[in-house]
Amino acid sequence: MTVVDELLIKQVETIAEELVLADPGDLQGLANLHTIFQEIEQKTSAHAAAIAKNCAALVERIILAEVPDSKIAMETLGKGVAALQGILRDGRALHEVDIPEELRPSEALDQSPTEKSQVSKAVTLSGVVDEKILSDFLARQPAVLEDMERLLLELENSDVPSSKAELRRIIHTLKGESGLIGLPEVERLCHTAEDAIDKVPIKEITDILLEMKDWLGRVFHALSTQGEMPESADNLIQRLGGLTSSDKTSSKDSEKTEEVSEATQPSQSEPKYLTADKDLLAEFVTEAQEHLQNADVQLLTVETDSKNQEALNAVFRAFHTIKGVAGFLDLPDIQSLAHEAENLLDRARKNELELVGPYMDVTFESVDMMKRLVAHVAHSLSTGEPLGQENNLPDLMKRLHQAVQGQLVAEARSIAAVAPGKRIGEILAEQGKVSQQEIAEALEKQSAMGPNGELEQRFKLGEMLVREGKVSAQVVAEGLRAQKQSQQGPAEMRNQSVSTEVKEPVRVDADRLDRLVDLIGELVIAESMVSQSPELTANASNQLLRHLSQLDKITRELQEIGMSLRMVAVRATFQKMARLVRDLSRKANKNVRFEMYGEDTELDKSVVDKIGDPLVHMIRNAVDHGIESDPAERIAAGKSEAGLVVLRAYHSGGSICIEVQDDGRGLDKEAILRKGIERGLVREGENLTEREIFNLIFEPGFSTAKQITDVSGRGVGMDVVRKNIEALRGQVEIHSEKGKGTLFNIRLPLTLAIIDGMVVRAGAERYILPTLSVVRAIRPKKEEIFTVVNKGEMLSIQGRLIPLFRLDRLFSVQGAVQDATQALAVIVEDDGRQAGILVDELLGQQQTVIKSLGDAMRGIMGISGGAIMSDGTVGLIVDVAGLLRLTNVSENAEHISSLTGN
Amino acid sequence: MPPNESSVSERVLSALEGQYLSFTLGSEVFGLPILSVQEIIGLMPVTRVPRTPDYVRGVINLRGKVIPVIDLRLKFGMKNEGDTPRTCIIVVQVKYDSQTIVMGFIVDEVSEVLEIGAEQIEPPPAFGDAVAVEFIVGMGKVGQKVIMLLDVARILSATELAETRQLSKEAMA
Repeated sequence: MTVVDELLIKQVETIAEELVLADPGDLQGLANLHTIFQEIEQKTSAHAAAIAKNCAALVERIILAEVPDSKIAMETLGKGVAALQGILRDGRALHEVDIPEELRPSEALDQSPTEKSQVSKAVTLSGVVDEKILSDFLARQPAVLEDMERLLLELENSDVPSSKAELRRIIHTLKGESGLIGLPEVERLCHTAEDAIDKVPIKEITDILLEMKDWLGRVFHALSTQGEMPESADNLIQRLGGLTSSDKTSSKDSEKTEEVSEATQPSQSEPKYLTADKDLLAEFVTEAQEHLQNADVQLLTVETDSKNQEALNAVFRAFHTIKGVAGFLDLPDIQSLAHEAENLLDRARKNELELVGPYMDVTFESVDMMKRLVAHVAHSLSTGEPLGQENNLPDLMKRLHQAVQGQLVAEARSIAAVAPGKRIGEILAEQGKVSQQEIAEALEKQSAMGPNGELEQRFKLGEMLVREGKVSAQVVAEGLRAQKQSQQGPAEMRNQSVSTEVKEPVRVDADRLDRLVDLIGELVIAESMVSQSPELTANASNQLLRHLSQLDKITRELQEIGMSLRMVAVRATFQKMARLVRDLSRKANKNVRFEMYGEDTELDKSVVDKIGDPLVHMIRNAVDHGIESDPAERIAAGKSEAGLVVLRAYHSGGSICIEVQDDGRGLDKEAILRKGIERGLVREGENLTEREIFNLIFEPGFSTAKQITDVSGRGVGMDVVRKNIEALRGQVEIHSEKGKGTLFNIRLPLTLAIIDGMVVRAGAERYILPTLSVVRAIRPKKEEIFTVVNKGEMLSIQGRLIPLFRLDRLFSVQGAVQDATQALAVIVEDDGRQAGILVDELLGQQQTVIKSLGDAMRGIMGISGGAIMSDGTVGLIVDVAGLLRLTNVSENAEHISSLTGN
Repeated sequence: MPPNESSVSERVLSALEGQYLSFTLGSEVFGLPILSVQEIIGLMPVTRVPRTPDYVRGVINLRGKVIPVIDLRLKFGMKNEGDTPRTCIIVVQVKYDSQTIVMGFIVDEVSEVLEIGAEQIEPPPAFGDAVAVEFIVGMGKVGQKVIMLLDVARILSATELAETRQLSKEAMA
C-alpha cells in the first residue's frame, strides 16, 4: 500500500462522509464531490478509476437534473463509493464488491487483471504454519501493538529503563513468534528494531518505530482478514538498520527474502463460494481439524519410525475420511489434495516407499496445507466470503504427485541406504558421484590447509569438491543429508496415544462453562451461608441437619466437578513443542531428539493457554544454546551424538510441575556471575548461592551469549519466562551442571480459579495469605524482635534474621494489636526469601475462588486479587511475592550490618 | 480533561437527549444516562482496598463478580456525611477503551428516571479551574429542578488506574 493509495483511501472516506450529508439540491456540495471523484479517477487505474469516472458522470447528471429521481441516484452513488472503498482500502477484486449496474465499468476492463493483484504481496506467509498457532498469535497482537505504542510514547518523553526493557521484550517475543509461524519479513524487521533499540536512544527512532508498529498492525490485520498485505518492510528495515553502525543482515536473512519472493505469486483463480449445507460443512470443519491434529501427532511418530504401520494407517485414515466428505461437500481443492496425500500414504503403508527426507517433508506440508484449506472453509462459513485460495497448492500438488511416483528427489531412495558413521566422501564415492581418486586429492589439499576439527573437515571436504568442480552442490547437500539421516538414532518418541480409546467429548462454549463455574461457586457460598446461619443452627431438628449435611455434600461434589470441567491435558501444548524442536533443530543444523512425558497431565485451561509462550522460549534456549552445535564436543563429553530435549509434566503436591530439560552444555556459572558483576547486578565479592546466580538469567536484557542469532541470545526470552510464570502464580527453578545439561522446573498452581488460603485478621479487616507461601506462624517473644533505626523491624527465628511487616501499617488498618508479643507473626516464603507478617489472629484456612479486582484496581501493591469469603463479602488476597520484593537485598544487608554493628 | 466550550455545540447537546436516572448527593441532583446503568442495589458491606484513593470505597461481591465501588461524594470533592438507609449503589456498565467496565457508585438517594429533551439541556457552566466540572456534560432543566448530566466514561477516566498506580508507587517510595 503506497502513500498515494493511503491518500486515495482518505479521499474516498471523505466522500463517503460528505455523501451522507449531501443533498441533491446542494449544488456546491455536489460540485465538490465531482471534483474529488475526478481526482480519484486520475490517481487510480483500472476498475477504481472507471468506477470513479462513472460516479463523476452520475454527479454531473444529478447537477444537471438529468436523472429521473435524484434520491435514488444519490443512493447509487453511495453504493459506488462503498465499492471504491472495498477496492482501494480492503483490496478486494472487482467481482467481490457490489457495484450498481450504472457505475459498473465496461466489460473490456473487467477482463484485465485488477490493479491490486499486480501489487506483489511482499509479506506472505511462507512455509508451514499451524493454523491454531497462527490464530492464537493474531488474536494476541492488537493488545501487543497497543502496548508497544504506549511504551514508545512513554519512552519518547522520558527514558524509563523498565519500559525500555518491556518494549524490547515485546519486540523480541514478536520476533520469536513470527519466526515460528513463518513471517520472515516481520521477524527481520523485529530483529533490526531490537538492534536499533540497543544502540540508539529510543527518542531518536520513535518515529520509525511507530511506523513499524503501524506496519505490523496492517500485516496482522491483513493476515486475519486474508486481505491485501501491505508493502514490504524493506524501507523500514533499511532505515532502522542504517542507524546501527554495522550491517546485521546475515546470509540467513537473504535466504528468507528469497522465500518471500517465491511465495508471492498472486492467486489467479476465480473465487469460489461454499455451496453445500452449512451444518454439514461446520461438522466437516470440526471433524477435519480433529483428524489433522491427530495426523500431526502420528506423523511425528512416523518421522522417527518410518515403518510404524499403526501411525501410517492413522494418517492415511485421516486423509481418506477428509477426501470422502470433501467430495460430497464439493470442495475440490481439499478433495484433490487429500487424494494425492492418500496415494502417497497408501504406498508408504504398503511398504512401496518409505516416508523419509523430502517425502516426509511433503507429507507434513500436506497436513499443514490441509489445515489451511479447512480453515478457509471455516472462515468462509462464518463470514460468507468466498473461499480463500492457497497459492502454494499447485506446487505442493505437483510435488506430491512426484512423490507418489517415487521421483521426488532422485537420490531420495538411496538416502536411507547409507550406513551410519560414514564420511561424506565415502558416501559420495559410493553413490558414484565422485571417484575415490578425486576425494583423495581433495583431502590432501585440505590437510595442507591446516588442522581442522573432524566435523569441520567433513563439511569442508564437500565444499572442496564443489569448488573443484568435481560435483554439484546439490549432490553434496543430498549426501550430507543422507549422512545426517544415518546418524539419527532409532525412534524414541514416547507417544502413548497410538492406540488410545476415543472418548466422546461434548463441545461447550467456554463462556457458558465459566458462567457455570461461577454459579457453582456462588452456590457453595450460599449453601454455607444458609447452613451456618445462627437462626438455623439454634433450632434445627435432626432431620433438618441431616438434609443440610446432604446438601453440603452435594454442593462440594458439584464444586469439584465444576473445577474439573476447566481442566485440559497439556498434550496439545506439548505437541506444538515437539514440532518446534523439530523445526528449530533443522534450522540450527543440530541433531536433537525430543521426548515428552506426562502429556495427559491436566491443568486449568487458562494456565495451559499461557504456558505455551514461556515453553517456547525455554525450548528455543535449550536447542539454540543448550545443545552443543558440534557433535564431537558431545562425544568428547561422553554423551550420545544426538542432543536430547525432554519435556515433562507431573503432579507434585497441590501443584503441577512442568520441566524442560536438555543434556547440553549447562549453564556457565562463572560467566553468568561475571556478567552479573559487569552489569552491576551483583557486587564484587558478594557471595551468591547457586540458585541466586542462576536466577540472574531471568533479569531483563541479561545474556552471556557473545553472538546474537535470530533465534535467541539477547537475554529477553528468560525475562518473558519469569514474567509469564509469575503471572500464573507459579515459580521457576533452575538446576544445571556444567557439561551435563540444564533443567528448568516450573511449578504451577493446579488452577487459577481457586486458592488455598489462610484467613488472617488485622484490626477489623480480613486478608487471605496463600497457604503455599505460609511456612508457619509464631507468637514472637520480645527479645526476638529488633527495631532498626526506628524504621523497620526484624524478627529473629532460629538464628536467622528476617524482615517483619505489620499488616496494619502496610495497609493502614485501624485498631490492630500494636504489641507484637500479643500478635501473631506469620512466616511467609517466596523464592527462598522469608519474611514475617504481623497479624492479630488466624481465622482459619479455606479454599476460595479467586476473582480479579478488575482493571481499575490492577497493580495495587501488596494485593494480588480478591476472593469471595464464606459470608459473601470480598476478602483481599495478599501478594506475598510483591511484599517480599519490597525488602530488596541491599536494604536487608543494611539492616543486618547495622544490627551486627550494635 | 478541561471543559472545552467550543466542543459543546448544539449538536453535542442534542446527542445528550434521552432518559436519565436522577439521584442526589447532598442537595444537588445528578443524572446518569439510563443506558449505562445496569442496576441499583442497596448498600452492602464494602471491603476496603488499601493504597487506593480515598474516593474508592472498596470492592463488593456482585453475584460472584468483584466490582469496585466509588463514593461519588468524595469523588466530586463533597463531604462524606455518613451512610443513611437511603444510601445505595448504582451499578454502571460502560464501554471504555474497548472493554466493558462494571463499577458501583455510592449515592445518597436515587430518585426517578427522567426524560430530558434536547431543548431542556444547556452546556455545563465554566467555573474555571476552581470547580471540577469535567464529569458534567450538560445541565438539564426539568420543572424547577436543574439536573447535572454526567458522563460515566469521563468519571471512569478520571478515576483511572494511573492514579491508583501512582499512589501505590508513592507508598513504596
